[in-house]
Amino acid sequence: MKTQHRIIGVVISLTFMLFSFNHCVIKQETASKSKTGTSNSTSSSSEPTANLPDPIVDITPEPEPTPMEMPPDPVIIQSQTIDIGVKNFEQINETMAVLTGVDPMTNAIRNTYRDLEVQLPTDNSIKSFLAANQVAITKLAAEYCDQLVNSGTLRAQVWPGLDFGRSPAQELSNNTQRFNIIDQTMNRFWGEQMGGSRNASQLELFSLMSDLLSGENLNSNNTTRTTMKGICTATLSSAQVILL
Amino acid sequence: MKGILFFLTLCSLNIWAGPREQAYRLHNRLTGVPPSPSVLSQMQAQIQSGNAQAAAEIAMQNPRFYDLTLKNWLKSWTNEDQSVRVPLNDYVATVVGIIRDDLPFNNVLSGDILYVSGNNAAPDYDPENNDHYEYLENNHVSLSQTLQPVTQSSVTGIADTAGVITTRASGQAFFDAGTNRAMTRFVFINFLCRDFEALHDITIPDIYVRRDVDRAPGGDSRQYKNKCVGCHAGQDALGGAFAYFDWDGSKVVYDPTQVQNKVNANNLFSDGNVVTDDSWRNLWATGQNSVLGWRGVASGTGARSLGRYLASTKAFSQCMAERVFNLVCVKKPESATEVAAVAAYADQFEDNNEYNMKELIAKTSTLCLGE
Repeated sequence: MKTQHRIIGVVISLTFMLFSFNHCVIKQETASKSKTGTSNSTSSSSEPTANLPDPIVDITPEPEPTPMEMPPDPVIIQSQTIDIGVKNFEQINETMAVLTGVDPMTNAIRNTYRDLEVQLPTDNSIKSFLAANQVAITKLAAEYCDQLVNSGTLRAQVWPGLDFGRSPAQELSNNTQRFNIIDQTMNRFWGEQMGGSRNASQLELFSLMSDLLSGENLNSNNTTRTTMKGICTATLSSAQVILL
Repeated sequence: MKGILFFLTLCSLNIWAGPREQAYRLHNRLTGVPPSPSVLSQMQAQIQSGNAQAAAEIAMQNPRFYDLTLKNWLKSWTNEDQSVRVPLNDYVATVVGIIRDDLPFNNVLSGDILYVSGNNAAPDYDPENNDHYEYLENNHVSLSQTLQPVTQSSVTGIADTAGVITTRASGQAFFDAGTNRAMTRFVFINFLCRDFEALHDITIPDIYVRRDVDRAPGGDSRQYKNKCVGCHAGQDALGGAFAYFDWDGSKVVYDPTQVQNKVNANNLFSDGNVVTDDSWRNLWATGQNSVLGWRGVASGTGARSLGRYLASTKAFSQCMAERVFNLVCVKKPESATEVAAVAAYADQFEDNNEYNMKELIAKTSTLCLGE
């Protein structure tokens, strides 16, 4: 009894499988015949191969796309090379020390650097550069700029015409003064006569300076210092300084 | 502020252009810091006159070429993690010194040489600790200005010194525990630019494979025949060179009278090779790995002879040229032009047995000045 049930089950299964298989082929043949049938209506009598069985087609033929439906030309992917790098933790620290003139062995710098060291980039690969790296770079730049602005000797080398004992109302009151300070900052940290995008950067730094001065006491020399620290930090932590 | 920084980032990405910018970038890559205005002008003039190599040589006069760029480059060679976040050590200082003094760089794996600082405030070199070098780094003492060569065997007491292979840092990293196979492997990685996977060859005889290698891992001998033997047949034949070395937790130990116990300690296959001395043999000299360009007799005794043999290969020169390209161009050689140039510089590197690393660096740095 059990054997009979098994035989019946196997037969049903085989029938189902064959049906499924033929169903698929029949459908394709139909599609194929319907397509060739229209074209053979005029030429079948002259072609000796017309009576041969249709080849089995593995895929369902797709209708001819109209010109409007044509896919776009495939984009040729070209290998892209990256020829820029980013400085690592120690190179960044040394770079900031060189540019500002601040001794990296001073306690404030050493302590800040030790705190931030692991957050600074490990290697020179730009591919591994993270937002967290930029945060650390900005923090380190802020420390260097703090030391720079607080040192009369060092700040005089970067901004020789700027009197930090005077207020913004006196030293940063007009565009000429401001652009002059911004130029000095860029020359020092980015190099003189470097590149062709300086105008855009100058405008951004000018905008930053305006923002930093907005709402502040323009008659206090403290405002001059804090503003310059901001300009210094933005410039010193920029890609121009960090990229390799 | 973030917006400003982002904008400045975008702006600065487009600034590379003429000789001045090329000089600026070249200096940054060689020294890790930007040039002073006067140095920038000198370098710019050299580039404008078509002599970029001279511009590179100007930059390399900056002490930071040694104290910053080379130091960070080499640190990753001195530990299994290949990390640059390790303290300065005798391995790094010795390579920096060899480069600074224009010694033939192939001595790096065989010379009886070590570099220590002449800084009076630094603790004396001690083969049992790294205090000397950590002091130098922590106190910003310039390597380029204070390093002095000494005879390595005279300060470490090791007779079979082999350049950086037998330095304290190298011993701590690669002779520690295990069976000293790490030393062979990392010498290949660092100086021939090939890990053992790249040398995998199951066609050579396994007569030197030691007893500690299971011949049927997981009960399947095919695993040994098709995988394990591919690396062990070659590396165990070479690794005998380090049989007398060990790391005792504070210093490199060398005993020329007997093989270190750990080398033959494990016995998973009693018919495997038992190391009885520090002889070595290169079974990779023929077959698929002959592409490494072996030169000289493919057998010897001790670490120094192996180091000399490895540093004489074509692969050594090619590896150094590729590593230098990666250092100064921040990428691997990709275009056909770059690959050909690196190959040519590798040839020139070993011409007349000069192996001048500074010259190689200066030449290679001109390959990626920027548009």
